[in-house]
Amino acid sequence: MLIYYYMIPDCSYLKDQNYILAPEGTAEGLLQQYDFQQNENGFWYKIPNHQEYEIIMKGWPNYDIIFSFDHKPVYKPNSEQPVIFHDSASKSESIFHEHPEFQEKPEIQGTSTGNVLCIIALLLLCLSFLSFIVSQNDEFILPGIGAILLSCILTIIVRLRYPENLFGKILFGIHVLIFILLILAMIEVILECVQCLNSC
Amino acid sequence: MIEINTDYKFISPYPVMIILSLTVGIIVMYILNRKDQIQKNVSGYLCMLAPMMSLFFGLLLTYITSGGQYFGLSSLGGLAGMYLACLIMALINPQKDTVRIMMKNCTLVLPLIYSISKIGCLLGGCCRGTAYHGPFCIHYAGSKTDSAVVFPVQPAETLVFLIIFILGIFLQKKHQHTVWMVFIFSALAKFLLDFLRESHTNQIISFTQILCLLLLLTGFLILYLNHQKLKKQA
Repeated sequence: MLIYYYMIPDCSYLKDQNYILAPEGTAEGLLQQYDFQQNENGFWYKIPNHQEYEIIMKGWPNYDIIFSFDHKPVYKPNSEQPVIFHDSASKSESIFHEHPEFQEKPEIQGTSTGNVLCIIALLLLCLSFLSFIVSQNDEFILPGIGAILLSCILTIIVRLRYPENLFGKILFGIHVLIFILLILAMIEVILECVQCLNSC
Repeated sequence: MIEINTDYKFISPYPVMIILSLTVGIIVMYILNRKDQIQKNVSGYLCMLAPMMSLFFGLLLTYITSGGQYFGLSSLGGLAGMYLACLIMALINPQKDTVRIMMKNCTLVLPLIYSISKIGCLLGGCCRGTAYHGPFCIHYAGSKTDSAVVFPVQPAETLVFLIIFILGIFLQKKHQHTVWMVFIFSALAKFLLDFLRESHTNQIISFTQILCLLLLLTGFLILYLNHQKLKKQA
């Protein structure tokens, strides 16, 4: 299996270590730009992020994969004859344009799982707000905060595992807003306490 | 003698220092994680989750130990919250070495957070020392605290934990057991300094010290196991 990692063609993939291995002779500046690291043997490697890992596993071991900023990843059966290019930077783009039949839009797996997690997170948020409203003697404050935390954790899981999930993006925005409001509420409480003391 | 009047005109410094300690600690932890090749989005999400979990478990531990009587912030609860946040992020994003790196950086940063938060305790008049009239004693006055002359345990904790943090940061690349030494020395320092607190009066050993002993034992055990593992590999 070969990986055309953006501007770095002909990378290989080591499944056991989960490394994308750059070919020898690739410019160091280019490798550093794409967050490749050099090991003690002088090889340049990169650990794919979760989304990249899922894409690689989808094509493992029978497809070469072309990563590009301009389009979704492309899967090319690796039994095809290699095409010779003079300019390595344009190799991956040329493969894409010369083989339109390879323009498969990979499914974003787990969309329904992401949505289910988001729904649970949203229910937990609603539960926490309910607990703050119902709580008369602060007995539900901690469970309410705990529910917000759990909701936040589920939302982070969705953002990391299913970054394309729109529901997750919106829910994460709501959590950031809650975080900011909590800080503002804390400052408001502190200021009110000071005003009370000053007026006594 | 240091005079501290806890009737502040504008804002009490206690919550300000707590927020500042968490902010500085989270920023330093983010920088350390990024230097150790943890992805930007993972490091960022940890910055959001860690302070919330730290505050929640800080409140929870005080609520439990007070038998549900009041809320307060426990440093050991905050420690548990920070570690849990790192563990959760590492489990969500199971790349090679993520758990080890995040826990390591969290351990390095915790003494700094504690050190800054103790300045808030000093100025707010909480967690203060036993009655003491010697050099550097602190005289508390104000309507919110009883007038008392006490040992400067909070500045002592600030200084000790700041030194532990600085040594940890500088020695972590040179010595492989630095992080565990930071963990052990932090637990030991907290255990010993607790004897000098007003809350420790008429007690042989406090609940905080029992937890610190457990942390010490855990630290020694893991250090020993790591050492044995490295000996076998050599």
